[in-house]
Amino acid sequence: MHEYLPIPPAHGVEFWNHERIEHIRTLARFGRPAWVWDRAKHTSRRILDRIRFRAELESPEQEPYEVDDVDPSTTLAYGQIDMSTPLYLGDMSFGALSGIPNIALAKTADLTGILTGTGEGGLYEKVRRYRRITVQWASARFGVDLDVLNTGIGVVIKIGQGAKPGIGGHLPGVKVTRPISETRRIPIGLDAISPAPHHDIYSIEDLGQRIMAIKEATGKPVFVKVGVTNYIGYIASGIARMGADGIIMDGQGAGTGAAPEVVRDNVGLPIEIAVPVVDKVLRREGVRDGFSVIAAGRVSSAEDTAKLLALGADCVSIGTAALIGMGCIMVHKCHLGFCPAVITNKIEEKPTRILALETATDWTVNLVRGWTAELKAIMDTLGVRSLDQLISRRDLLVADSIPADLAEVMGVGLC
Amino acid sequence: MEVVKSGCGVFGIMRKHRARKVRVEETLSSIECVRYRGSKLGAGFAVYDLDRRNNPLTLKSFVNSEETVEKIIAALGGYASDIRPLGFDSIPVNSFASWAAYVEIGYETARKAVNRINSHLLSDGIRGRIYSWGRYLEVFKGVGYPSDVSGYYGLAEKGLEGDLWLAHTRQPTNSPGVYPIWSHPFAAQEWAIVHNGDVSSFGANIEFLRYRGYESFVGTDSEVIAYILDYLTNVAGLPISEAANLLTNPPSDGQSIYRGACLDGPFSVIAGFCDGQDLYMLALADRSKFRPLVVGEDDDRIYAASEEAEIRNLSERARVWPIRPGGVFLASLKNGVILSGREDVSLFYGPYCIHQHPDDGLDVSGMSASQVNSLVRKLVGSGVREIKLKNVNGHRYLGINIPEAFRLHIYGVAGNCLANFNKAGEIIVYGNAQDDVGDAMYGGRVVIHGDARDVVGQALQGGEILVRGSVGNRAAIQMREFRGRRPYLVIGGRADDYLGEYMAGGVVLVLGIDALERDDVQLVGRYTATGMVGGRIYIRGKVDLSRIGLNPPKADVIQYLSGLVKEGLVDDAAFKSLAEMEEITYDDVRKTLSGEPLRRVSKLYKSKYYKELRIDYRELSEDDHRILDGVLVEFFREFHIQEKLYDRIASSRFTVIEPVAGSLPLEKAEE
Amino acid sequence: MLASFWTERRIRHLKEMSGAAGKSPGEPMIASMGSTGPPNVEEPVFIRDYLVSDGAQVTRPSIDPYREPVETEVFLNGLGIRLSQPLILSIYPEYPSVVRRAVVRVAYNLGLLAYISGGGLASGEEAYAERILVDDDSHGFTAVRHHDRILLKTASTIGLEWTSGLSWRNIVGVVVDEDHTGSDTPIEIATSHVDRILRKTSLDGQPLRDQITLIVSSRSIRGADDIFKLIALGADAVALGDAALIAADCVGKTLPEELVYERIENLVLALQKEVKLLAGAAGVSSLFTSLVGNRELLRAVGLDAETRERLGVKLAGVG
Repeated sequence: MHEYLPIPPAHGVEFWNHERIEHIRTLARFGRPAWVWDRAKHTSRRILDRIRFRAELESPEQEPYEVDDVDPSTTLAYGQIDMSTPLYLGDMSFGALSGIPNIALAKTADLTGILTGTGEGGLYEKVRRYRRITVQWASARFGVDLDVLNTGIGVVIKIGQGAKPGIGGHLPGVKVTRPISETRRIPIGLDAISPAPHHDIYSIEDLGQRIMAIKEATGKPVFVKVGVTNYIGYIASGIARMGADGIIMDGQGAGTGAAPEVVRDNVGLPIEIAVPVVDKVLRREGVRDGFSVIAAGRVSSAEDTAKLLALGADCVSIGTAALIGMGCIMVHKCHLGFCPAVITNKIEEKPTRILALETATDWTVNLVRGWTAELKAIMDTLGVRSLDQLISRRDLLVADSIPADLAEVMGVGLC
Repeated sequence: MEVVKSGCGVFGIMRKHRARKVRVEETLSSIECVRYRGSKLGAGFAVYDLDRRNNPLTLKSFVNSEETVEKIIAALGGYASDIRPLGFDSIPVNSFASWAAYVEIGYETARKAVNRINSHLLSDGIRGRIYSWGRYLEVFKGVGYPSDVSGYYGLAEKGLEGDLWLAHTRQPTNSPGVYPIWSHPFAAQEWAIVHNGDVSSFGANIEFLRYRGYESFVGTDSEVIAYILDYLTNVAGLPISEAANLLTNPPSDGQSIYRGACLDGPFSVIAGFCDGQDLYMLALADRSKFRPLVVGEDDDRIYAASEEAEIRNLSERARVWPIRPGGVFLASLKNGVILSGREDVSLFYGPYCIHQHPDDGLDVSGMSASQVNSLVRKLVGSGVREIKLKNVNGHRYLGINIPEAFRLHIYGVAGNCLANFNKAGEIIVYGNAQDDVGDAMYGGRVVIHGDARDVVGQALQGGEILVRGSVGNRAAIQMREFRGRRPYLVIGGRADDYLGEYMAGGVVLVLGIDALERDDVQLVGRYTATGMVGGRIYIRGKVDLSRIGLNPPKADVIQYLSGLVKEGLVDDAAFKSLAEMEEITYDDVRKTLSGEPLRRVSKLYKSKYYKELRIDYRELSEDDHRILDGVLVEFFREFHIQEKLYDRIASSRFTVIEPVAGSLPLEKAEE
Repeated sequence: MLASFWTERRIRHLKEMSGAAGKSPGEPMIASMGSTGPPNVEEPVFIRDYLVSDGAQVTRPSIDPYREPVETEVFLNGLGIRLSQPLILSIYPEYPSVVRRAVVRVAYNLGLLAYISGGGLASGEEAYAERILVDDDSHGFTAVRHHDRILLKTASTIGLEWTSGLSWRNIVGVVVDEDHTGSDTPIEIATSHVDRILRKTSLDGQPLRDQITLIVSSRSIRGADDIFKLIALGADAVALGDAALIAADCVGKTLPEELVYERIENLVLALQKEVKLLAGAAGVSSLFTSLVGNRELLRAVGLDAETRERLGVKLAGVG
């Protein structure tokens, strides 16, 4: 597989519409900026799309251009991890993805100097050689032991994810084939449903205990990943105070390989509400400096990235966008294992079709490069030269047709 | 009202009626054992003294200014016949000081007055809060670690003593400003409570209280617990044990008057109460046992605590046992232990077995867990192959990642997270261990001469854990096998709920050695092997089938069956035989019905994600012996158990649980 | 012609759960990739489309309904009835008789109630009468009856006319029906409002709300999420209208009764599992004691301040 499939007509309303998919594909093909301001946002109901940069309102028609004297690099985890650009390739497991995509993400992270996460599936043998990966410690501890925890550049304790806060990971039985069974150490053919909570983390002090235990054992930076829920401010504050090096917040609307629809659609809040709330709480408590706030959940463009940083995040994580760069056409049938783009299909021992690793890696590397170039152009237009001049700059934003009290909670002025 | 969340450490201690009073230093030293569970953002104490019976009510309030004091006095004047201010009893911290007064006022009037005044104090920012009003009870709380708070009130200097103490150290996850009004204990009339957990029924509990005379809430779920206990006992007149049961267990008789009094979500609560005649200490655990809670008893005192270390700190000999899920523990000064909080205490949690600490052991008293672990690492690095630690008391993370051919001896109470992630080496505990032993362990050996608490062997993937005593909830959860390694968990006593939940491999053996003479004792709690997909569990004796798996409520099954009777698919006799059972398991259904009615009723038991279990009650076969003999011999040797018991156990009948497809391939012998 | 709020997505969801489509009858529907639901992608239709529920993380654990118990039983006190889950199945006059018979049996077998709107018991239904509610206008006010017990039926409104001149001693519950004439308020607001009115009213020294049952009904209830949110807003049980009919997928076809029965039964079992997932995700293990009226579990993403105030629901982002 090394050609994009044609994008099918949308079945009902879809956030990841034609325009968004096309834009990502353009970036992935050429690695150069395709636009400055996100053109797909105008038909969207999303709150983040109704938050605008003042600079955009002043000059909405901007042609893409390359910028040299803007620095998009940053560090995470109290300076322990360097990032060439504030982009984290989201935690998608070996099992949710069919192997080649997992390798492509890891390779891209190494090649471009960013990070990727292994997700809940344990460490796929072929990903082990790459350096810039975080290993995930989730409720089921699938495929994880101390050797695995010591392999990555950091550990992510996954408490929850945006698509289904309060529910554990779910790999449908049809996708638990022999390779998965061996990596995760579970029976073949049976749904792998991770427990809802970590059974040793029932309170904030329990989380602190687990963070310390992992640090005692590995000495590595520890991030905690959560879905965005009602008390996200307190949860983030607790995570910071308990000794974690960063938080990955995954908003409602985020992607998933499988989730009960009723939970996916009715639990959790959008990331754009969480980010400013958390930023404010952490600053008020004096625990913001050095602690990394990573935002995920429907991050679709460099403009989304810039907005989330301006709202208060240090970095964003992309999941669906990266998969679209590899050819995903949003069929919404990942859980059945028959992905036409060969990204989330079930892993066979003798596959008939595979994604070409070279191509997938090139696309993903280009995506990162093009995305970064667009981010730089936005920063240049905003008049900021480095990320620390952009982070927490809610004054650069205005709220357009958002209820006043919500805008206040988000710390953004009205139009 | 903004909601304020926290996690914490709790402690309670009450003297028995012939013993001397308990000093504040003792309480303080115990709560400081779990200082890491709290933070500098909140702590507190409650003390009860029966000698105060002739005192008027002591009312205490946080105030932000003299003006507020005057407002409170003025407001009280409308309700009380006399007010004698005692002045400020603490130094001001974060713009609040504590002020106290003697007040001549009846209880009912006091409740009304306190509610009104508290509403008022919160109506315009936070100006203060009346936080304690009782005759026998006085609360001291504030912002700081327990030792700080004790200092603010000069408790040690005053040489304060009491008949019952509660203590708390708080880990808030948010502190909008840092105010003492959110610290525990929370009090109402003669009730005081400390709480570890985060109650999910909070909104429903507020609705319950709001229209029963409680209008002012400070924003934490812990506070409603105090109000609910106050209402149920002092206003509605329920006996303490009934009130306590309402909190821990939803009523199954359908009464809805008090359903809003039930708590849901994690909670360990320790509470004190005085009814003028006797003094009570209550300890409650939620139905899922999401928070740790142990109680203890020696000749002079009765204890309740988050962790055993807090009790051992004061008592070398106390018998300590865990509250069962949904359990209620009640003790009084005059009568001692009234409700022990679980079944079979004397059988499984006998008098504490004291091991002589060796002279050549490294004394770690006073050292932090990190210091101990650093020390061990250093010694390991310098080539030492065996280390003995003594006076261990709740030190956490011991023995993480010790190397091959290394032995760590631990004398005392091993704290949480013992032997996590281990792949080699041997750890021996001469005493009890606490929660989370052997998490993600995949090799090596852990030997515990006493008990372990909750979540032993979670995701255990190799090696052995041998426990002479009993374990708590969720033992062997998610145990699995990998690359020819078969993990073993052997339990000499019993287990509580959820043994082997979502187990995917490995072997669990529950022996109940101390109950060999009894055949009426169950060695496991409820929900054993729910979600099990692999591995095997052996439990000596006949386990009630209703304790295995997750069954639908009997009422649902009966209702469905009566529908099938109406449809003519089930005859009256079959219906009656099932209706008479206390609980209807799938096995019962399968033995009584067949064909279409069986298929219909199965829908209540099965789902796409359910794997059917085979449960046998049988003697050990040759294959079983092959699997078990090795580890059983080791168990006997390690704990010096009489040889003659070996044959008795090996020839006993066992309940054997595994998934129907069976997943212990017999050729997977030892590595 | 179905109302526009019955989107293709909603209809497919019900059919997959009933078995009229897909391969996993009786199970919650599984989806993949990001949500396309309201209010952030799809256009929201009802107030409840702006409401989301909590996910328990870190400060308390969520509960795993596959392996640990989440109790869905509710007790309708005044009626002396236990429901296996807070669900009532409605039957409207125009329903095909095969659906009516299937619903009556499912309601009985699965421990629910069937509510026959606009009529009395048909022949053959007396055997199931202990699980059937019927309309009853013989009391001078609109009522719903179960044997000899009466529930007051009111339109979905915040006006208080329906409470005037009542002797609460003989009334065991209230049914708030959005499809009843005189409804002028969305069901979410009316539910929250009536729940609170009943709590403020006292009978024998206890809040009236704790002594009677509150049922809410609307033909626009589309699934477990609607049910869950209305319970959190104050209802003891929710009457499911056309969702069962749609799930049975028998309109315009001649299907054997057993198949229609099977589908509706599957739907009810699947809805129960979905409610357990939502409750477990929020850290609630007992609906009857912990979910009813627990507005703290909900947040509003959008919605004006006045609506939120009437619901008693906080704005998203507020702790």
